[in-house]
Amino acid sequence: MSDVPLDLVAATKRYRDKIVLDELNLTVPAGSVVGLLGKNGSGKTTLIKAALGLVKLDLGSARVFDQPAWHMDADAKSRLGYVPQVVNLYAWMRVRQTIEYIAAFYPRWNWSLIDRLLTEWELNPRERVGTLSVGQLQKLGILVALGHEPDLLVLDEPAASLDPIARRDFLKALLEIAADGNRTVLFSTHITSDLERVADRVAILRNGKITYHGELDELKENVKRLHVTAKNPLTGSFNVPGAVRLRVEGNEALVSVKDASGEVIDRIRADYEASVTVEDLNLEEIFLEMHYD
Amino acid sequence: MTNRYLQVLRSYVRWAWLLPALGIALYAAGVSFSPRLRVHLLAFLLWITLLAGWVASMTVAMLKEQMATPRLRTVPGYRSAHLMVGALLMLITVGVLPIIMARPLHAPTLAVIAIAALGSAALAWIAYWQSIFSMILCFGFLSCIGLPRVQEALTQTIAGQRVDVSIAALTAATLIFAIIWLRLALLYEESSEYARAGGGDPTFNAHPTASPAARRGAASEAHWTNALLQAEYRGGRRSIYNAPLWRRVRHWRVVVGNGRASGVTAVMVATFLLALPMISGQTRATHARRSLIVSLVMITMMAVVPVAIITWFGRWRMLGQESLRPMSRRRFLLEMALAAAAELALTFAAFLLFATIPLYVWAPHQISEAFKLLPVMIAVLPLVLAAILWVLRARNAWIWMTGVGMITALSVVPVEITMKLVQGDLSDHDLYKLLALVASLLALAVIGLRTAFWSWERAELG
Amino acid sequence: MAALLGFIVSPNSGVPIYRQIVEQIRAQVAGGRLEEGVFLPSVRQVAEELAVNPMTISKAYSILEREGTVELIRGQGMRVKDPGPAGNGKARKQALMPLLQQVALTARLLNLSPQQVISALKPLLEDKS
Repeated sequence: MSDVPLDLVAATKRYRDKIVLDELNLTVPAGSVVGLLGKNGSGKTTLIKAALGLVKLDLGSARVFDQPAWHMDADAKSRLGYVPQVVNLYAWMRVRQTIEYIAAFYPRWNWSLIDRLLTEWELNPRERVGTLSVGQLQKLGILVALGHEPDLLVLDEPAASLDPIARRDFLKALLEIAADGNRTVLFSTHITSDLERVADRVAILRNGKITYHGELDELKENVKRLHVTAKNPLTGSFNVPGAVRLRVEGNEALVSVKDASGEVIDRIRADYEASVTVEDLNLEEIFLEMHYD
Repeated sequence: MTNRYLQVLRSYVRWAWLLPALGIALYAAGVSFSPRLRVHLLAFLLWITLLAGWVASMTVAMLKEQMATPRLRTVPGYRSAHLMVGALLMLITVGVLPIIMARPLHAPTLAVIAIAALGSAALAWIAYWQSIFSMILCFGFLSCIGLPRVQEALTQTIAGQRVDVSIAALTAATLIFAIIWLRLALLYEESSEYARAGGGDPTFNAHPTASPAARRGAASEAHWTNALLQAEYRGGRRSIYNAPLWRRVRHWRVVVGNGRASGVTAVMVATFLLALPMISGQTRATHARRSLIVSLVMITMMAVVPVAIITWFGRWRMLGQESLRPMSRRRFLLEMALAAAAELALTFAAFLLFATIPLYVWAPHQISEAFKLLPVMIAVLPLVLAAILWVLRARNAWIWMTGVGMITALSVVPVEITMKLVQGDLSDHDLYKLLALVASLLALAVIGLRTAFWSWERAELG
Repeated sequence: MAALLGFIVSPNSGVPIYRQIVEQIRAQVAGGRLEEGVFLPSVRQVAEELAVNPMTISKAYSILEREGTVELIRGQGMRVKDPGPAGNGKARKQALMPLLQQVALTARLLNLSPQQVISALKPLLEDKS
């Protein structure tokens, strides 16, 4: 399984005069769980749709398992699972019928997994899809994307309308899938705590570009907020390389840096005769810092 | 206070209103160019009625679309303002519009208004309930125009001789509108028609779950029609991955309720046709038989299109997801197109089958004559399919509706020929013409299908 | 095999989850709560229990293995090694560092002098109840 599950190169997509994806590059390595973060309207859904060939790129390329996304063959598609943001299923069908209808398209289907999840997630197979609540519908949407045990699972805000219990169940199912290390998961979300649990990588989408893509741990280890207290007033003169956000007031400064290595901190201490305290930031705070203009 | 009404009125300003304006322009052109007004009076009257009806149904549809929302209860004065503005628009539609349009026709105002109002009321009724049953009901009601007696009464009414008919029609129309407005005034979340806004009857539709209202409507289990229309899908746990093409195509059709809808509708139409000569009381007259053949072809051709297209329209939102099922893009589009073709063919077959029964009962000698038309009817179908594929390609509901109208118009071809045939002026020589017609229809269909497929291949399905 | 160790993991802390686990195991080993020869629960067990990515757990375990806190016994899992008297003290101090850093930060924000902090800490440390 050496092929790259998902690869976007210089992907550009315009809607009228709005650039949604701007020469965006993103390679999702095999076996990783990538969380895609971005604020509302940042183009997460467009990115996912373009990556799956549901939307046509103006420029650049989108490839799934080394095949152009627009022209995936049966083999690539049978290795792909997708849960859209708004789960759309046929309202009149029963839950069981829906699963059987979708299962029939695939060469293999893990019925024991699906039967187990149906019970665990408390979905009644006899119920009409139309009468399911939004959360249940989302569960069903996730369920039908898992049955063929895809090598690549793409989820667009899958947990948005799930209650805390259902979300935990869903995360566990997701982890189960990721457990064997061969499966790749890409999911967009703005619930950062979910992402922190399950993702090993994070990609941050901003202004049509991926502004960060790498290991989540690395991000947390590198991005720190520094509390600087100097002897002399810092106003006007204070500057730190790799600063994401900088606030100065008198001889105190609050600076968030991309790479809080010992070197950087020592430099600040030496240059400004200051004491520096390092504050750890969680993903939500990092995300906020990165979106601060 | 007036401000509120103005705001509500503004919410009804949509570019879709330009369509009736186009219709009025066409009408005006027709009136000014037609020298023999009297002869075409009925046609012009029909045009006025259709226009008024189109506007009326649009108004009611918009009204319901705006009212079947939570705002109905949460915004003070929302309901009354909408009801008032809607009533005003309706008054203009069925009152003022026909009067202005009828002026050059020199027909009695009362008669014109009565006929336009009744037609509009029928169409508004369909727009309000949005159920296939109300459609069939109104369809049956409107096809009474085909009855000689009704035509006679109509002619007399236009001539100003039957004031009673005008008054009766006007009363009926007022009653229908009153019921609609009453329902709107009482409308609440659990009203059966609440969920059916802007989508068509979900029981007939491959309706996806995107909108909560549509979901609720589609799942209204209590309705006995569900059981009748939807065969319980028992696919079991068999994979169709390696199955032959026809089985895969059949599998795609599972979601449209196993195609029982068309069958049920066909039976209803057949029953109506069967009863038609009895209603008109002219079971023996050749005139009735001839009109029967015409109606057979007409209904078969015209009813097929909406039924086939309505069941497929709801699928649009699903295409993105469904295109990710394991098969190539081309293959997916091909299978979908074939499934749509199967839908059309099966609906056609069902209608034809059930429409033959009344023909067999009332005019057995003319069956062979009617079947001469079969090649033309069948030859039109691929072209209709191409048009359906093109129309489905457009994601705009108004384009879609106009498209359905145009496709329906297209299927008039066999009807026209039937007219000629039944009147007996189709000679042997004409058979060659018929052959040429069939050939050219098929050629057109090939071009239409090919281009539709190309266009679909480039379409973003997400 | 040890029971699930009562790890406390807060995913939305600024400290990466693997580091939280590493530090907790280190502390428990150094403090003697995890004795030599005890097996750590399997990666799968921990991941499932905490609902975090198994890769995170195995990352933590391999760090612990590399630094010699635990050793991998084929087919059985991770076994706690003898911390030894020297490593013992160092490891214990190490485990306390992140917390102390946090204390230092807060103290600075509260404008407390080092003497004030130490004098506040002292009774807490001596408290045996």
